[in-house]
Amino acid sequence: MTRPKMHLSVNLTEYGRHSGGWRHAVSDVSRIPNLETYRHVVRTAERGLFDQAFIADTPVHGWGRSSSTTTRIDPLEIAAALSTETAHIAIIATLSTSYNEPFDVARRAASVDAVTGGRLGINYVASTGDQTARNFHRAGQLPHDERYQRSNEFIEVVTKLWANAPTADAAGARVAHRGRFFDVDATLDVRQPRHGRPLIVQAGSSPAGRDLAARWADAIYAGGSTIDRAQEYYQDIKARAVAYGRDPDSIKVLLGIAPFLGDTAEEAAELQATMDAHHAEGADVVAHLSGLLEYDLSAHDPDGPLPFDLLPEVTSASVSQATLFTRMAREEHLTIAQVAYRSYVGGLANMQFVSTGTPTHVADVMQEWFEAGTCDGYSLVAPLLPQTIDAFVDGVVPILQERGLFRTEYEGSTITSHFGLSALDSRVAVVA
Amino acid sequence: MITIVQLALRPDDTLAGVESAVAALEAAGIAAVCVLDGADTGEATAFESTTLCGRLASTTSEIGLVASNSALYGFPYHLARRLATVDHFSDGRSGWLLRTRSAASEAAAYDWRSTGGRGVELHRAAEYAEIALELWDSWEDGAQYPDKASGDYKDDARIHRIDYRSLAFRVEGPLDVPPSPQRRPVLFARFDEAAEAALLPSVDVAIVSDPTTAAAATAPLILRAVPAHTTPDEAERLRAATGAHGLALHATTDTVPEACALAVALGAARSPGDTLAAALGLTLTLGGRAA
Repeated sequence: MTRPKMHLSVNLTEYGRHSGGWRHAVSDVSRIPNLETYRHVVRTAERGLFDQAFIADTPVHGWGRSSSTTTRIDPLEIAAALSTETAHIAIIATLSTSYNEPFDVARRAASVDAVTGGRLGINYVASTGDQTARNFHRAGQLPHDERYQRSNEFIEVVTKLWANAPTADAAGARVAHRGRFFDVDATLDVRQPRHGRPLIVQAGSSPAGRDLAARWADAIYAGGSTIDRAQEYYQDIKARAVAYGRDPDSIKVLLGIAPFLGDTAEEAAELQATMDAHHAEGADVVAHLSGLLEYDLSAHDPDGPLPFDLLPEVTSASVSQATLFTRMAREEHLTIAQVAYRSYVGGLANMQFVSTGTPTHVADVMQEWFEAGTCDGYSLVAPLLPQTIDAFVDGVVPILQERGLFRTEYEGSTITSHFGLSALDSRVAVVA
Repeated sequence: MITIVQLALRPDDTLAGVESAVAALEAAGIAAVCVLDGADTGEATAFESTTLCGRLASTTSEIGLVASNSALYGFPYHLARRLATVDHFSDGRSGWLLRTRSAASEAAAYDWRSTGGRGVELHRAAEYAEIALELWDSWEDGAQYPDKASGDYKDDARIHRIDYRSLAFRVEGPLDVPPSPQRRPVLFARFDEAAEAALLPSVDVAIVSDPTTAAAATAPLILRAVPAHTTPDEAERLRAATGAHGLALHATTDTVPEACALAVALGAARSPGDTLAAALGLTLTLGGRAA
């Protein structure tokens, strides 16, 4: 048996996932949204033989200064519009299960699957925050566990609609579903996706999130700030998949990595420091952390420790982030000001491990974590685009290929061939 | 003469077939192609209209792209986002054909169910459009101004919630998408009778088949629906008899050559670089509820 190769994904954003990205000298802000960067990134990632490009999504306006990194245009439309740029790489579009109707998603995703020639994946998210809920006829979001129950039922309904969708040879069959959240009695009026359904991707580290992922996902975006923790997560996901009767290899864990790349170590460190400073300049970082932790820290000494005993249990915002920063502060003995700065400058990059250095250094780190059994591949949380993807494809990919860790040509041109799967099981068996 | 084509997708239409048909329509000077999918035609097809328009935004450069999307089902916020996205990718060539009837496939597929009453359906569609219009107008001019020196990316004081509340909908807003080249898509609707036209006042382009409906429509642009195989003389006679400003040809990929020939005979023309609104001679108004 040949040694398994890494799978690679890149986060597709306008200026990179770091909040300071847009202020960098190389970033073109003459037109927003910056569509040319999207086009450049997918073309470059395909040149680097990446499996997929991933589009995150939160359908709500971000009030305040730190909101330039989110994708604010419709992910399925982006996937359709970018499909002319490439022929191999898959696009993963994020869709909210809290604020969508399954029939609408089933129609539109089947169509994007068709225009991309079977290169669509969907990252189902439960979405957090009351402000998002208020764009979709609700006063506030559902409680955490109910959001995941709704996600499960949502994926169940779309999967059944696709499994029974019309094909070139057969008429579609009616799906009658009556559940707690959805009442659907319909036959899909768009043809079945090429592999029966789009690829399913998940993220999420809470027990409910892990369980949902192990049940449904073909790939998972994982976070891990130490090798131990990433190994624990990897083994837990595979074990949960087995408990659902699945082959553990049928679920790929892609570990988030935020690489700051430079020709020299100094250059890379300077890039990271410049971007952090760009973002934090003039910002109230303690207020930002207060928001994440749902506790007003303004009365506490910024140079003292977090008041761990006073922090409430976070339920409405992202539980994962609040847990991460509290743990980071405790384990690394950080002051309020230090952890607040980190929470502010890194944003999502804090959920992943950051690797700063030359292409050789980043390749070394990726190899070490990969061979330690923390992942099946990586999700590049590219801090600065297009800089990160250009530097990665030109610098890191050839090293990974030389070491036999990454493909030297595409195995095929669909999302299943990238993952070495001959077909996707419809997952209807899971439903039944 | 202003001419658009309503392209009804067929079950066996391929991506290459649709793309070459739309390229032919673009070359013939057609102002816009309005893509009708399975929810409009009653036949399952490989594509859904809004996402196919997303793809066509990248394969065409001049023709308007009018997506059919329900004005009854789903969420107005998503509709506003997806068409603003098409407008960005197409450099201002997007349109929205409001689907105001409940198609057979979707009648029991969504949370909301139609009772079949046209008054109720059109009232809901009018609210749906109003919400979308307010969302597209939720950013003032100049609210998006990335200033690297100050670190200000946008001015929240010039971006506004819409706080829309009715029995059917509650949408806080603002839209998260920065203003698109046209600011909003051009709104199209098909009306089968005069009473319908009066109940949906916010559309820019009304597609009609008789003079009474044309007279009742408040839209600034009225198009007469005709089949692609109509002769130029007959098409012009029907347009004049209806009191319409232009034509909406009904075609499938098979009859696109006839639609192109008819458009050329009628002198359809479009200027490169035009937004869809400009190609139709329209000045789009913004906002939903009157101030």
